[in-house]
Amino acid sequence: MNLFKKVSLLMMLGSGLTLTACNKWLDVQPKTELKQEELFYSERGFYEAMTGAYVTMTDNAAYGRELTIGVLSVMASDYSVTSSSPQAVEFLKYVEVFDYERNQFKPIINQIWLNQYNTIAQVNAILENIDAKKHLFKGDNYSLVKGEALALRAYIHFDLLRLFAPAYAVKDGLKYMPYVTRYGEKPTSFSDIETIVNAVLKDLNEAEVLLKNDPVGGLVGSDRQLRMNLYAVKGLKARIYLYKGDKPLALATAKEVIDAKKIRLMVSGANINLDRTFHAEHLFSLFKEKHEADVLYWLTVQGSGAANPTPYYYTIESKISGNIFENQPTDVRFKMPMMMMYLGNLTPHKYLYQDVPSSTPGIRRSYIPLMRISEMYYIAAEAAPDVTTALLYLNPVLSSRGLPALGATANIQTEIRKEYRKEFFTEGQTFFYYKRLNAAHIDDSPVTVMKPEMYVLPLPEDEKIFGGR
Amino acid sequence: MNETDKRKWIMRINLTTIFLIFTLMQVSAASFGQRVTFKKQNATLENIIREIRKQTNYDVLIPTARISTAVKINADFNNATLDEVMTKVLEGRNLSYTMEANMIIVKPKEKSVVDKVMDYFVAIEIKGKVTDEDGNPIPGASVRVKGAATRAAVTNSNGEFKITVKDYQDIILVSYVGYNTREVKLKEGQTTVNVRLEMSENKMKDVVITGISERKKEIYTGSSTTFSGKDLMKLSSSNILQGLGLLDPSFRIIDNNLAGSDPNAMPNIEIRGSNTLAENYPQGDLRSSFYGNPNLPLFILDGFETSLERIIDLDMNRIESLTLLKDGSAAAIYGTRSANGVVVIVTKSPAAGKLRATYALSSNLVIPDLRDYRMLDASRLLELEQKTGLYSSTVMGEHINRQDLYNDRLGMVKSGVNSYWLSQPLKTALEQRHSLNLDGGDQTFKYSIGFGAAGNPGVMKGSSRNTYQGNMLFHYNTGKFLFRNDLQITNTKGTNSPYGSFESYANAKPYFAIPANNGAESPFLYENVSSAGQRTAYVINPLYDAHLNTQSVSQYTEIVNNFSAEWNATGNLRFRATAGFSKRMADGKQFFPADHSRYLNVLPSMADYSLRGDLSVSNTKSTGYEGTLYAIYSKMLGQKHSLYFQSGFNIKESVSNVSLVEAQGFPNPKLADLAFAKQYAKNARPEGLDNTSRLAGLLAVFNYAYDSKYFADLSFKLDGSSQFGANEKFAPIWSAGLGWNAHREEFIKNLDVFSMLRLTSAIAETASQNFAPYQAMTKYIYQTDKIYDADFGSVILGLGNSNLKWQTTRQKKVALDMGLFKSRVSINAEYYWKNTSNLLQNVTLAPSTGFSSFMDNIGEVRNNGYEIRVNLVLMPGAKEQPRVTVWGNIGANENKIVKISDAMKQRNKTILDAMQSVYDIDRLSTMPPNIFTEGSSRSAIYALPSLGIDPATGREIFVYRDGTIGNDWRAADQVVIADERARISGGFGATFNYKGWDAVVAGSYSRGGYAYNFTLRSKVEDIDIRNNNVDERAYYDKWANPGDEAKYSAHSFVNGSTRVGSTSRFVQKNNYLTISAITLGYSLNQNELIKRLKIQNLRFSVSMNELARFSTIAIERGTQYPFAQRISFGANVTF
Repeated sequence: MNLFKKVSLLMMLGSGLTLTACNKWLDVQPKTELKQEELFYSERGFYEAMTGAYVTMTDNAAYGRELTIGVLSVMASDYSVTSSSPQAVEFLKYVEVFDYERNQFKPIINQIWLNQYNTIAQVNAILENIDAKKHLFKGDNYSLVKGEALALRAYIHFDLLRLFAPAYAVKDGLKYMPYVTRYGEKPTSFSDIETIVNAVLKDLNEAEVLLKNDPVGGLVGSDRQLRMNLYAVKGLKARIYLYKGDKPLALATAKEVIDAKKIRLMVSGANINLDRTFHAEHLFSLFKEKHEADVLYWLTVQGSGAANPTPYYYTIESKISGNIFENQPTDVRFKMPMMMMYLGNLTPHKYLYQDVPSSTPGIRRSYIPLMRISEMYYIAAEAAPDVTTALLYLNPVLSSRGLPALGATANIQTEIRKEYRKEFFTEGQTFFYYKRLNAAHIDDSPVTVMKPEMYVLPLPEDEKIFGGR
Repeated sequence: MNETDKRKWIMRINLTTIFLIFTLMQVSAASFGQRVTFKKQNATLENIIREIRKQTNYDVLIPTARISTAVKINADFNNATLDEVMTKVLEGRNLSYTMEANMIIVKPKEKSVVDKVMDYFVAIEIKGKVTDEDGNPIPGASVRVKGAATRAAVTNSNGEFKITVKDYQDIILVSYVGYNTREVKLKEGQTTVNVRLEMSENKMKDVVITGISERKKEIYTGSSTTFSGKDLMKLSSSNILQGLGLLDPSFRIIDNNLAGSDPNAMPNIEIRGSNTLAENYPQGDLRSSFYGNPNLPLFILDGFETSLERIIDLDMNRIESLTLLKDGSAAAIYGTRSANGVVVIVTKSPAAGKLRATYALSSNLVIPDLRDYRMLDASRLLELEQKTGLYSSTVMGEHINRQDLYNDRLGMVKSGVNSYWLSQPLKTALEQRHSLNLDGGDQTFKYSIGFGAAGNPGVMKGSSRNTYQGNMLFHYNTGKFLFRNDLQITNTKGTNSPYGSFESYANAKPYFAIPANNGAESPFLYENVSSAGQRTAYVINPLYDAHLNTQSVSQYTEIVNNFSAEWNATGNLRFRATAGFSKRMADGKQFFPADHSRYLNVLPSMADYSLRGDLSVSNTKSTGYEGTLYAIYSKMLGQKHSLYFQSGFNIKESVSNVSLVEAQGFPNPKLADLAFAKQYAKNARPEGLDNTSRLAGLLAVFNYAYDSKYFADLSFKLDGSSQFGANEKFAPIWSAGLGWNAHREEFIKNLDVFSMLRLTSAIAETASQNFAPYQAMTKYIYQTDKIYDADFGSVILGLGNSNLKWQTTRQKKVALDMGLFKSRVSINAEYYWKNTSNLLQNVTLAPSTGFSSFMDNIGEVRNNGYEIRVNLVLMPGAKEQPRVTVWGNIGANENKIVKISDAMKQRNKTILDAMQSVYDIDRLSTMPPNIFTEGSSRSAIYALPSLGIDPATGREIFVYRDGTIGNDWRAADQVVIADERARISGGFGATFNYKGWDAVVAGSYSRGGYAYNFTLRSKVEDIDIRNNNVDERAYYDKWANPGDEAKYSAHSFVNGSTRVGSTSRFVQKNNYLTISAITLGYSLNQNELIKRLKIQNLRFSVSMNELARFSTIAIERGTQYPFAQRISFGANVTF
């Protein structure tokens, strides 16, 4: 009996020890995937997670398609939906008329919402961990990654606001979406437009400070234009100020970006054969390795079996040349090689290079522009107190694009509106332009009178049910 | 001694020493005086007693058994007193007598010391042999003389023994673990005794082998059943588990109608219903190589966890016993692996003695079973084709072409072509299994070495599963210490048939002749080439690919070393430690040569022409170790209190990783090696997946019994697993049970009916963790196919849940075990309630969290049911008499989904929407959806209620949810029509033993289950008569003209118009009864010839499996691989 007592005591003791050691032992490390703690164990890990967030943005549900060449361009009437492929008609005819409740449209909206917040979650995961791991970073890298993360969170939230809330001009005080700053399964409560805009600006201001030594345009390191750099932050602020209607601040901020001269308009007459999105002008763009292949698929022919094959995203020739580019043959955006006949259709070649031998060095394919320097000029022009100042900003863009300068009699707002259509054709920003102004009509849209609610995407059902909205 | 006293005395003798027989002798009334005069040479006892009776008024009360009547004495009594007579008669017989009233009572003499010493020297030597039921010698059996502890012997390797008895009144006791102890009476003058021991059913009922310890069944509250490997082998010649399904209704092997008798398909098994809603990963998904079926029970082989595959491949001859731990109380000791039940398999231990060799051969004829196929023959098919308008057209030119085609085919039919395609890829296969086992050693050190080879060709040509295995076992026992080491090596190679899916042969049209050289001649059965050389129409020859070097092979080699040590510290306290290590290397290969029919449409002009040929190679490596340390303490306190306590811990780790590479462009069909590939497969990259899981647990088991009447079990296990969330690393698992052995109560004993009456009840909380290893974590994955400029991004794969837990299954049961009429009838009945909560499911999140869902513990599934097993011994099989037993069982389980997550509901909607689009847009038939709804069974069949075919229009009429009717098929209106799982099912059988003969007949039945008759869909209703042959019912029972009361809708050629959405019309009752096994065996062991050949034992057996099947549903069984019947011949010889 004595022995038994001793032994059981020993075993209990042993068991106790095992239990504590156990917890650690039970913590296993996958090999084909990486645990969060493991990833955030080095500076490189944070950098890779940040890159991951940009990669997520290139998904089709976000800037890889729907928020650029996809539904946003359809809603801005960049395409001739009724003449597109039958498959496209089936889906896009509802998009074109803002019939959000349709089964053909709704899932896309849900996906956009989810994908945008997924990017935010990835950024939040970084932000939640980065301060504790500050010691891992060399040089300015901590500030750069954190600044980028904050700025990206602001960028995505602002685009969500532009999609799922009415224009700022409406400012109804209603709550449309959450500004999510933490990572996890708990939903964040909704905020009104003003609060969101302020939160966006707060993040941007913080980012601006962190990014003050941003080596944009530097030769070393990665392409800062593919990340939320200092000028992207400033540019975004200018965009927001204008969205808010704060013209003086918009002008001042846009001017700041223009005057910094880190990112400049390209020189008129430059060879754009190899850089059709004008990458040098990008304040912020994304890189999607397979973008050209995807776009080729959408913009050219779908379903080879069909009798009269037409592309999914298709604009009839007369609309491109007449309605959008106003038959101005000198506009580089309308000329070869930016517009080309391909498989019998006039096809925009902003993202396509299939006419260039693929071995040609220096092709700038795979870029998805999200903000360009030209927009800063437009913002400055739109915010300018008078026509003279406005022309000071508008004419350099026109000249860069091969168009004649405007005179003092020009209607600045109309010219800017036309420019948005031309400049951001199949880029998605055009829709936001109409949205900001709550425009009563979108050019070429089959909807004759835009009701304000048409500018607001509906909140996904899941968000209502599972977020307890 | 008065009359009542006497009776009592007699009765006592009667009860205690059954061998005593009383002879009561009347003394003649005519004589008086107490003297006897009698003289006779060689007088028998009988003579003398008769004289005493005649001459005196004394009765003689005498245990005749103790006095051999054969003994003769020279009687020479002259007016001798009774004392003198008795002394003389009892001389030298260890007997004394007393005289009371007028009765002489003979009884054993009180022994003096001298007598005892004399006993020792005066001894008769008895030789003998101990064998089992089949006549195999039993080495190591204990032989002793009853009541004489010093006289004992152990049988040698031939089962032989020598023992000395002091006289023929001695009784010899023969016992061996696992067999009924036998008492043998000796006959006067007997010198050899051959004893045949019967496998003790009681022994199996006596001890429960839990895989962790052995527990006394009598005071154990868990539900378990144990079967011997030998019995299971008599029920099935394919694998050990098949027979288990017949014997215990809780163990259900779910019919696999696709895979049929494919030797490489693993069965799907459930013990008492399924506890999860998780779905199996589809074939081809790498994950399926790690997480098979989440409902599979845990398999424990000699104390170590093993895989189902390993059990299927295990040499059946090595299996000693198989125990099912069915309820929570029994299984809870396995902690988080316990919820699905446990199958504990123990292999044979070596026997001490001279080197002994046992060779077992099983040779099975596997015959394809095509009884369920009723395809049309050539002429009726052509007739049907013509009737449906296949050979006419409204366009004149086309009409002529089609008529030509018809005439061509008619010509073929007329010339007598009527190919029976079904049999083309099939053969009658001959399985061969050899098993050689050598064992020997002495009581301290025993060893065994075994080799096994099994060649299991399937009925489809080219398919096979071949296994080679070897094992080496050492057993060292000093009494205080016991060491055991078992090394096992297994290599299995599974080859799938190059003939592809059996379905294509069912579809092939009989009027096409089979191309020459068994189909190797041409890839086409029919080909129409236009004048421009363009192939315009063709029919593929399904046999063609089989003659190419098409390969689909998977194999594994597994090395397992299991070591265990036991220390018997004191009589009451034992320690046991085990350590197991395993390594497994598996690879798979799939090769399609360039000539394969899948590339028929890749023309030489195409760029992909040089990329024809495809090889995918997968590689899996797994290592694992497992260790346990337990202390076991058992003690009797006083006479009545028995205590049992076990405590200890276990750890387990398994690491595996799999990689998959696919390459294409193989110029030479013979060169199926990666090195000959042109390139990696287009748009593919090497895939890989790893899985590390760790488990650590603490166990405490307690049992208390009072007088073996009342008993209680308690167990507690704390299992930590790497698969749980960071905040929920440890799962507490427990069980508690109470039992009552009513047969030990006086009032039950007095009934003299029950040999056993036990009532047990238990409650337990068990758990399962059969899910992906890393899903509790937040993980990042490198998006290697999405380079961002020059950087790789790592993206969050899913939101981790650090609170993720195991699934909990609360189990309750009440059980009644009865043995009636001296165990001639035994009944086990049990009712159970199983409730699984914390079901692992995707839970929908507010998408603004960035994730649509994450894994959480939500959902509930219930399984309630009962099982009854009855065993009747019709003839107990006394000496030289047959033993006949019949048995039967019934099991019922009701499965109900109590709660599911919203994500699951959305999944349902997604599936239904997709079905609707398949029906409407793709214009295809649909099968019942695999959806889950609250309140219905997991295996419910969903379909649209149908009123049948409208005689007026030939269109089906459906009933929608709102009660309206119509012709449109609506996915969303599908409701639960029936349940696939049977309401009741079970097995029955009879066994027969007589002398060397033994026979078993067994069958199974199922009632109350339903099936969706897909034959009606694909071979009768939605027939593709352009390309496929059809079922006879398409010829006879289809609607043709208005007014036809037809079961099946009309045929139409407009593409897809005969498509049929899942309809209640095709949900049919699936009751069946099968005769699963008939086995006949004969053992020869006393035969002179055999003795001369130095064979200790020889046994032959013949059995037939899947002999007959009676079913209420006419459905093609085994669509991708046919079912098979087996005839097996077995031989077993021991030298």
